Amino acid sequence: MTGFLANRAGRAALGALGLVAFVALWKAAGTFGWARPGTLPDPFAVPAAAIDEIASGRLLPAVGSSLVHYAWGLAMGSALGVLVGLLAATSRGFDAGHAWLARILRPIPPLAWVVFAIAWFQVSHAGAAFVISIGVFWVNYFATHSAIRNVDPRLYELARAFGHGAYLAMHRTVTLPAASPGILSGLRTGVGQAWMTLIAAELLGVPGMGQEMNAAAGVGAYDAVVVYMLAISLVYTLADAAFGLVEHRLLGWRP
Amino acid sequence: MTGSVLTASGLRLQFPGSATATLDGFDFTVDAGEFVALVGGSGVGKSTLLRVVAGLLAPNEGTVTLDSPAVSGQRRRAIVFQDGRLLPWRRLRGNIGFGLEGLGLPAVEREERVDEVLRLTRLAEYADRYPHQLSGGQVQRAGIARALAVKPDLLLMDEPFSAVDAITRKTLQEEALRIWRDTGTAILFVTHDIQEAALLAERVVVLSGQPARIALDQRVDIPHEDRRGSSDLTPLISRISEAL
Repeated sequence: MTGFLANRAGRAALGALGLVAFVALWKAAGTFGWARPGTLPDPFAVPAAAIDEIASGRLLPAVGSSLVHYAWGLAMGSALGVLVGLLAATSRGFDAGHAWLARILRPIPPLAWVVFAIAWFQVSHAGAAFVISIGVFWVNYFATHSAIRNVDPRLYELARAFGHGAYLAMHRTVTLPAASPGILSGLRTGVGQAWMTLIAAELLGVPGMGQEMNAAAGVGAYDAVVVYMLAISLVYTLADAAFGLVEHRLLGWRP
Repeated sequence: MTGSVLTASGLRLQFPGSATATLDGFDFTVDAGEFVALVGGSGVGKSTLLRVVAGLLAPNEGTVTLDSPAVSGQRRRAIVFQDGRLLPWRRLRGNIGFGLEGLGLPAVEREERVDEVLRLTRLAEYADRYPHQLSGGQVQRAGIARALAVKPDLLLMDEPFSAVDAITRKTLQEEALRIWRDTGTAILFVTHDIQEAALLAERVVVLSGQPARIALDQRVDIPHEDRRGSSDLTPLISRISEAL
């Protein structure tokens, strides 16, 4: 068995088997009536539903719309999270000044902000982006903060010994590159975190995959709901893979 | 070049939470071009003294003065760390140029300086490698190259060869001597290895006690090429041992 698992084809075969088993279980659940009637779509109806969602011109615009507030929310949350995490980890004054505020705001779930997102931005991309950015902000804030706190202090001594002791010079030449693996892994987690809040953020009525999913569920079209779930999975996988490539390139110096 | 490159006077340094001072009323000078070995047992404060001299640790009292004239495009002192301490995300070339950034040198001249010390330390063929692709001895030579690139009048070396194997250490010791002759820089070389001090230095300074005092300050007049394996060093080595 271990020999079989050691080769790539063997692992792929098992992966496919797992998938087939899952679909079989799903089909069985429908056939034998394990779920409440009408609530479980037929897995074999999903491809047709996907074609229908694309042909009817709903899926692609929904993906496009989701990507707009996804990109904005991700960019804003990442930039601010890294910046505030960096300031907190490198400036004792800033750290002390923001500590209580961060402690109070941190436990508030991003979705709790939906109320204010609607009040401030109405139903718009900006509102959804705002809600998404909050979750992303905290992920990046903590990742950046702890990555910087873990930078080897001996590198700072090196910087001071060779004329890079000033705040900007030191953090540009030592802190940022030294903390980059941690910062990048925070950014990558944020890419996922943003998806997690995206669908919920769209419940406030901004067009996107979440809204389409909700609309499909409203009319009992559960096969279409599955189509949107799979579309979300696909877009996330592509985004994560793209980020993985960037990360690999930037961290080529690591053994 | 004559006269001193470094004058430390009245140094007092006590770490917070420590009952006794590491240094107290400590005076010390290094002459231009001189190779001084600073020997002492572990914890006696030789690395601390080196850090004070390097400007990395502020003394509670006393002053450290660099006596050579400041020249643009140069740092008057540079340090070689025990652990090599290269920046893992920079290739060797970038690591060696680290101290040259911020000196206001044109990029072309920075590159020339890096090439020059790469040749001097026999690292030219590894210039584009990352630190994790270098051997322990190469990392140590890179640390020396980085320090030499800023053309220091005083090269501070903190047990630079203590972490490498015996064969590499011997090679590096020979190279340190060659580099010292080629560049004419003064070297303050911290070591706990009596043999090493006796092999390399023109002047051996032994630290002992708490706070640290100079227990021996001895010139070594035997030519370097006659030292390795020579019994002439035996009296010197035993005097250092006694002072410790």
